[in-house]
Amino acid sequence: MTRNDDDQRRLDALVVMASLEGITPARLRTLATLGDPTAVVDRLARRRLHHGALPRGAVEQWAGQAVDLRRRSLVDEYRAAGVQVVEVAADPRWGAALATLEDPPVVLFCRGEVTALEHRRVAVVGTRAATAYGREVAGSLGRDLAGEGVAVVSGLAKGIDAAAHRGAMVAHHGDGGSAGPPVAVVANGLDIGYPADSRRLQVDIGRCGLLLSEHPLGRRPAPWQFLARNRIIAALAEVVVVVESHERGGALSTAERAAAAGRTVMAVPGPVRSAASAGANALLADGAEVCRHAHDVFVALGLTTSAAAAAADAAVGAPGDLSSTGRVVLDALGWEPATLDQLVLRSALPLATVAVAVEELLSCGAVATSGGFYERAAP
Amino acid sequence: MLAAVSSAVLTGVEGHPVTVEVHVGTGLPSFAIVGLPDASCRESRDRVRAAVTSCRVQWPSRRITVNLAPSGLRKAGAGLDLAIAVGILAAAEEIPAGSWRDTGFLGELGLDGSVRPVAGTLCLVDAVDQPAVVVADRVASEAALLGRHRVRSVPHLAALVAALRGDGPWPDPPVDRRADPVSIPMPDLAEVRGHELGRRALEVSAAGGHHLLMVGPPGAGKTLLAERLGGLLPDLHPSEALEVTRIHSAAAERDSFAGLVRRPPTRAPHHSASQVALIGGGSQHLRPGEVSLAHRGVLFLDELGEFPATVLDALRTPLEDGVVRIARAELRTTLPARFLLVGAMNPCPCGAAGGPGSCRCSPAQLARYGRRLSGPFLDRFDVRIQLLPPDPALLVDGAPGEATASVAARVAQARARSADRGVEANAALDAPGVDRHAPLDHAAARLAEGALRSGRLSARGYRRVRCVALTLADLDGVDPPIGVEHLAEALVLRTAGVAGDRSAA
Repeated sequence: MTRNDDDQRRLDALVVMASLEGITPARLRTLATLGDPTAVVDRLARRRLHHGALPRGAVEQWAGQAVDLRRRSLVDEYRAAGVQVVEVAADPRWGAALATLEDPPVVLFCRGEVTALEHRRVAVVGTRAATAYGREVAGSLGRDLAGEGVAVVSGLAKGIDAAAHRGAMVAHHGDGGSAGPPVAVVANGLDIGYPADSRRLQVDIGRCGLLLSEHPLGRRPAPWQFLARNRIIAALAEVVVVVESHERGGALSTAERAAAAGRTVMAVPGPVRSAASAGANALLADGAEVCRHAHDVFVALGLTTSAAAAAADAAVGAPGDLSSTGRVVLDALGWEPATLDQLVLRSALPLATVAVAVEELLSCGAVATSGGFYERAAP
Repeated sequence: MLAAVSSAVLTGVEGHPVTVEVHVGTGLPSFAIVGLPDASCRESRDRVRAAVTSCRVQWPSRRITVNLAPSGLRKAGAGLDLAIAVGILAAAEEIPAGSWRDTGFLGELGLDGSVRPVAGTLCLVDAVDQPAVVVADRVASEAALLGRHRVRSVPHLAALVAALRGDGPWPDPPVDRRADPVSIPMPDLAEVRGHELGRRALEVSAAGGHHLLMVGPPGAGKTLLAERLGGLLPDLHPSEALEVTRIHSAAAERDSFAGLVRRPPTRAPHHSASQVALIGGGSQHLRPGEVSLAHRGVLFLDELGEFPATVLDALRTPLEDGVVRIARAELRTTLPARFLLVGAMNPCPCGAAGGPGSCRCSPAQLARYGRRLSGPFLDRFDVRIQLLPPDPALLVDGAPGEATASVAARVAQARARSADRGVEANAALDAPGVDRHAPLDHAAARLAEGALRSGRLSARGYRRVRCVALTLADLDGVDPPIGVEHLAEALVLRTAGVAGDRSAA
């Protein structure tokens, strides 16, 4: 029996354990500490396994599942599906990347380039219910960070996460060689396209970046899995940037885990009255570093020392060739979503004039609209 | 001994003439009603017998058969009581032959012989061919609205018998103090502060007959605005007024008669309303629904997202054709239902008062909410606006807005312009009509092209936007071609969306 066969069998056993129904990261870790995985699965299947931390009923159920799963060579099946299985503790690269976690995943399933781990890594996270402002900032952060060879890590969720990934993809397509690969940590099996809006993005990241999950193929997303996923994002990233987060958003849990692990937490300031920025602003008040643009992140990473020169780039000016009413209405809009009524009130112009100005701003891309609200956009 | 007395029954809002044939013959005393009476109509037997006896008239102790012709038509309700009583008295020769021949009788009887009004008197009188008609006191003026009949009103069967026998005069019609009804004060637009966009939307909606959708969090003023739309619509034409009054009469909406309905009605059914209540129908009495009661007026559906999807989809035919068609195995009828639809709803289940970024709904909740309103249904709304509660400073210090009367004057002027185009309101223009009457000037055409290219506007939306722009031009008294101001305003009057669209990144 060769050493490779041994490894393969060990991995198979780990995947069997990860595929049991009702398994959680904590339970999986408990199982993994009971001895050699092959032996543990064997004891499970023969109903010889007892442990105080594992509920008796679950162990009973697992016996039958283990018998079935053991017959298949799961690692080969995963390989055929383009998914690599990594035993975190046994792989020095992953062990180092996730070293700060008290509760690291036992196995990771990944699709794509593991060389992503060789890049500097920055997480860009935030709320799903993002404003146009948040999506734009996240998108340009993703693009600029990836453009400098930084791997942008996020969670593939709607809103900020997706925008950051998309930004990173833009840089990646721009110059494939030197750009940092996008890294997405998802809270479900890698074969599940979730959220539905990001299915294409998920496929693209698997192709030119790295797609990660601690869950076996076929596992559907569940609320607790998102929180558990956040700890992996926090551990992978050297710097966590929160772009927009509500007062009790999931992104704050990522920031918390990162701060606990001694990582740098940065937040993008938002309008003080914007509900979508409440969490990010609260982080700033609690001492998080300010992130205005990618250069602030580069400073935090120690890649550059001067952010001053870049500050001017990030501030969005009004397009040059606006009509005078267009300029007035743009000023009236500010940086928060506003309805037409508010624009009329603030600009003190008649409705018809504001309407013409709004159409002008929409057509030159200075303003975006959704559901009757108008938002300033970066042209 | 046979008598045939004229009366009528109601189906929907149509009266149908009915001849009540009474035969009083030899045999054991009995009293039977044949000719497809329903349960409430068959109960006439007991009411009529008690009423006749109460009038100190001898009840014929013979074999009485009442036939309601045409016998194929199902008769419902108590409206034939009076005709049956008169028929029995005539067949028993208690009243002189000939005295009742040229008269239709419409009324329900009380056990003491009092004559009570029936629902839909106006429609029923219309179905009576005879030159005269006898009705209950309370509905005498309603029966006289048509002006085709000599209307006689009686309070009591005894008075009718006396008049028919020639023993007494016909009772004088009661002095109707409600004949010239005090107009109910309508809420005025002047009370609305702020809401520039909302006011403009109401004006456009009233002038062009464009259906209006208002999206906004609770307390944004959606109901406040919707209640004031009716006041902007012009008075009903006499023929329309009669049409509307018929519907309201048939639905027995008004307990006390309040003259002709001269103002467009506003109906606001609750979202728990059943489909039959909204559209009309019913197995026993075919009753007009809320859409018909809103005929020539405003149908306001608050909390549009809470109405069952099936109920909303049932609105599509009336929205398209202006009528409700009801087909049953035994009868088929149409109810008029041409109304201005005003919908109000929250942008999403949580109400998202602050716009993008403030919504806390889960994607599943949003998807469920978005599915409530089908695309084809949303398409009916030419004007869709987003409302927020107005600035508190405006509520406290703001000047009162423009009053209903001056806005209504502009609406009337705009409606006159649409009438010149051969339509009642611009919303009724078809595609070629829009192309002919609403050409765009150069700048407006470029704006439209940009909006179409960017995907903010669909091809169907483009036509409707031009139609709204035409209404805006009409309100400002400007002749086509449509300028860039009106087109831009029409575009911003169509921007609000519900949960589904908002999620688009």
